[in-house]
Amino acid sequence: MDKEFDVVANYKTLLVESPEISMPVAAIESLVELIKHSKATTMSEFMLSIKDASQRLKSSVRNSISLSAGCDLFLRFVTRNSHDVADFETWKATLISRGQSFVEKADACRYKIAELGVPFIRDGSTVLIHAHSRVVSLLLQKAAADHKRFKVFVTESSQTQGGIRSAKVLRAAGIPTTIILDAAVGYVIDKVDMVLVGAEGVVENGGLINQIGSYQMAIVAKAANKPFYAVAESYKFVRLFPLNQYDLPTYNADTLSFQELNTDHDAKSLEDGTPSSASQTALHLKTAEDQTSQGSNPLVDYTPPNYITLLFTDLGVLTPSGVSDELIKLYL
Amino acid sequence: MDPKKKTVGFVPEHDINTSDLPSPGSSNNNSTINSPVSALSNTPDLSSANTPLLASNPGSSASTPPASSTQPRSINKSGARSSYEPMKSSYEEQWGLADRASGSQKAHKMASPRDGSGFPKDQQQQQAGKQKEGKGKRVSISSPVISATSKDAKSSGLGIQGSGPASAEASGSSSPAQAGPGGKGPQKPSAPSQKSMTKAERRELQEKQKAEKAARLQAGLPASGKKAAQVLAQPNSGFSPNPTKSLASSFPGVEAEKAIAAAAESTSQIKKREKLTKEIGLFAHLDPPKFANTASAHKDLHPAVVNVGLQMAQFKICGANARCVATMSAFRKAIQDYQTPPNTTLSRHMQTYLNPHISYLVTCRPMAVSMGNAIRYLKYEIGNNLELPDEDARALYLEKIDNFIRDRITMADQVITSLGLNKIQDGDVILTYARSSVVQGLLLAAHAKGIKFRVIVVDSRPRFEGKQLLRALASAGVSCTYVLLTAIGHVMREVNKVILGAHSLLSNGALYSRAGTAVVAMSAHERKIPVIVLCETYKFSDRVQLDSFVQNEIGNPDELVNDQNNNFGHSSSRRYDSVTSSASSAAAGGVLSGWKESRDLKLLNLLYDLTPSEFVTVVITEVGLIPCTSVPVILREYLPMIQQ
Repeated sequence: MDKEFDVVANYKTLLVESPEISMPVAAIESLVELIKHSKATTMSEFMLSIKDASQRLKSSVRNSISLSAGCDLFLRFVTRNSHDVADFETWKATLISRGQSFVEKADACRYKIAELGVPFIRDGSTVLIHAHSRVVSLLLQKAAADHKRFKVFVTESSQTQGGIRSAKVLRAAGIPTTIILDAAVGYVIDKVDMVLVGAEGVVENGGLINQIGSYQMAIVAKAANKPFYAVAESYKFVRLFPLNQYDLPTYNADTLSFQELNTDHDAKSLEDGTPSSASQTALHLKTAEDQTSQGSNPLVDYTPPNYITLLFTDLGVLTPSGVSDELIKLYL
Repeated sequence: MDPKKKTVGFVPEHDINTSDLPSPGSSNNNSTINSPVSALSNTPDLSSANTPLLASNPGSSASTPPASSTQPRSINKSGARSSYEPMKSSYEEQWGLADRASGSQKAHKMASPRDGSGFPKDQQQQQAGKQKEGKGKRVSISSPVISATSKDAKSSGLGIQGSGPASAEASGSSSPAQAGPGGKGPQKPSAPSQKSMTKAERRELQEKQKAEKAARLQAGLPASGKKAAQVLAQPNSGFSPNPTKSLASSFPGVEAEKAIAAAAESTSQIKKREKLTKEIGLFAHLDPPKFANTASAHKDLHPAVVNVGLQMAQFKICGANARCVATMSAFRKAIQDYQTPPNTTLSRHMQTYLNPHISYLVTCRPMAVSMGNAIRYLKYEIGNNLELPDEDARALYLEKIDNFIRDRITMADQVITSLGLNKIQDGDVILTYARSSVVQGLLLAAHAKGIKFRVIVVDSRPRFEGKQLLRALASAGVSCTYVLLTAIGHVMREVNKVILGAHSLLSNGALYSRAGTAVVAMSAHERKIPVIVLCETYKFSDRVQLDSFVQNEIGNPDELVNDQNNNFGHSSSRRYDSVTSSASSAAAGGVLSGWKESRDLKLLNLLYDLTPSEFVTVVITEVGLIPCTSVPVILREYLPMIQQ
């Protein structure tokens, strides 16, 4: 290879090419690809290049949580195996083959989770889901294939329109699906038997980082005493411990900051003394800001573990505190 | 508040020491070794560091004989101050550090009670004279008396006293009654123990005591003999030119001299008995509060360990980390100085050699979880290397101790600090309770890093440990607020993080820490404020506890009584003291001062409490941030790895 292998470009093309692949898996796949192209001759140079690449990957996207879960997992795997290296080239080959087998197995993860989760969906029940999650959709499809009769409410999830995508998939599987407004969660909760959400990342304490809106769903579910289940592959477990919503790596000062008022404008309209024009200006401002405020809205939120009933993972059905158990085993 | 003007911590400084020590820093090191690091650097020469302190007192009293009579009085005015004395005297006694001239002085101090009922001047002299007469006997007399503080107080106490106190069940005041002015003194040498008395004799004794009580009542003294003795021995009465005379006149037909002598001799004895009878039912299973003593330390103990034990008994070494470091360093010295006896090897004999040291430390203060874990580790290492030659084994043990302190405490704290720094942001208002060395380290590090945050130090009676933290933070320039636990509801509104230290984390995720922690954590939890606990993994315990009752430590109940002495050691608040205490100063020590005589009043000074796991958001350990429910996982997965 003449020029440096571009890990970020590789990652992005992977995501575009196969929509079914999830971000951590794509990250691992591109890191494996990087190893294939690596010309490093020493161990430390090699480690450095991997670390650097994962750093670049993480900073290339706005919401890096599930991506960093994949990167960290792979890095952990590399460092763990770096102690008993006899021959550098064979070790590299092992890493590549192990990485590839991991990517292949990642798909199987979802099927396992679906199998574990299906018994929780009972005949005649109503399920509330949030936005779009591949693993949740798969679980529901599997349940439908097992001749379970159930209905689904799905939130529209206005930012990504994920709910509409989910509804399409589920209706195709013959599941009666209703799209509801994100704001209607409280309205439907009494009709619902359980809440199912996917995850961007599962943090150390068993809490959940997921598409914005999951947290309020969990709160409503808790208030209504409905079970709230999270569905996540184990490669989405991250070594993070957020204390609250604002303790996430995706948080920055711009998130939901108050827009500065255009004082010139306001002063002018006040001088005019015409309230109608002032309100019109305000309205106008708002629509102008709509374009920019998209960027200042948070993409994900954090659901603390005490709102989560159980987590369906490929390691089994875990309580939130069981996640920490698995993470400690993995990272020590 | 000017931190430089304050004396240090919860151990009020002895007047002499305060004046001797120029800077707060140095006094800090001398009086309380609380930070593990400073303990680490100090402990290797603890004994030498303390020698000036130890020597200063007897030295000054020996060189200025007149001062010797006034000095104890000043000590006795404040209960906690007198707690300095037994240690020095007994330490010197044990290791012959002091000259003979000051011996009598010390002996007197040993006999003097901890909690501040003083002795009139002439009585001291009388006692001193007595002690001089039987210098050879001094050790044999005084040390058993001291030993009565330990568990065998009942038996040995009775034996020494010679007069069986009219059994406790007789009446509320009966047990101290024998201390009354009924001429117990002369009776003492020949008096048979109560068990060996016949029924008639016992009866006679009771009658006699009743008569004495009546006499006391007549004389306007409290019914209880002990209280009477206290009244007689009031420090204030020592100021009157001739207290003996005035007292004698108020005792028709009784010789006051004898009464005082008897009182002096039996006060400490009675106190110990009362410790037993003043037990609180729900906590009767816990060890009664322990006091510094060397009597349970037999001659084979290494001085460093004895020293550490005494310092722990007096809370001069306080805090799980500091205690553990001090213990391990003392053991290190003990192992260093150890001479293998004939017909055995070092590694095989080491355990037998250390065991009395360990049990001695337990007699000083109940073992901390941290110490228990460290000692278990040491024993494990000893047991694992039995076949090594002596010098190799010694080197190995010393290295293991060093490594333990380095890896599990010093380095662990550094990792915890760096992990904790990620959780402190600009604009934070952090609340902490009492004092933990790790929390202090983290807050100072955060400040040094340039993070702008504010700290609210919550503190409580009786130890006021938070002041030490406050002093450290304030002198570093951290913006601080200091409130007492009672104001927690008020300050919690502005707080956005609570950071706490830990004595131990139990297997069910419960946090075992300084009493008051649970309240703080609960009120934070109630407002959804994250509660961060900093805890090294070596403090994790495989124990499970559901409440604070099953296992706890009872502190000296007298700490609760006299807030004047325990309260503020600095000038700024003396002002308030003088205002608030003027009402109660008549009672000298407040309304609780007579609690021992009040039959229905019992005081409970619990040192720890248990915070349920749901009140704790995160535990920061050296292995990362974990939920506190993961304690058993760490114990299972991680500890075997580092044990290897």
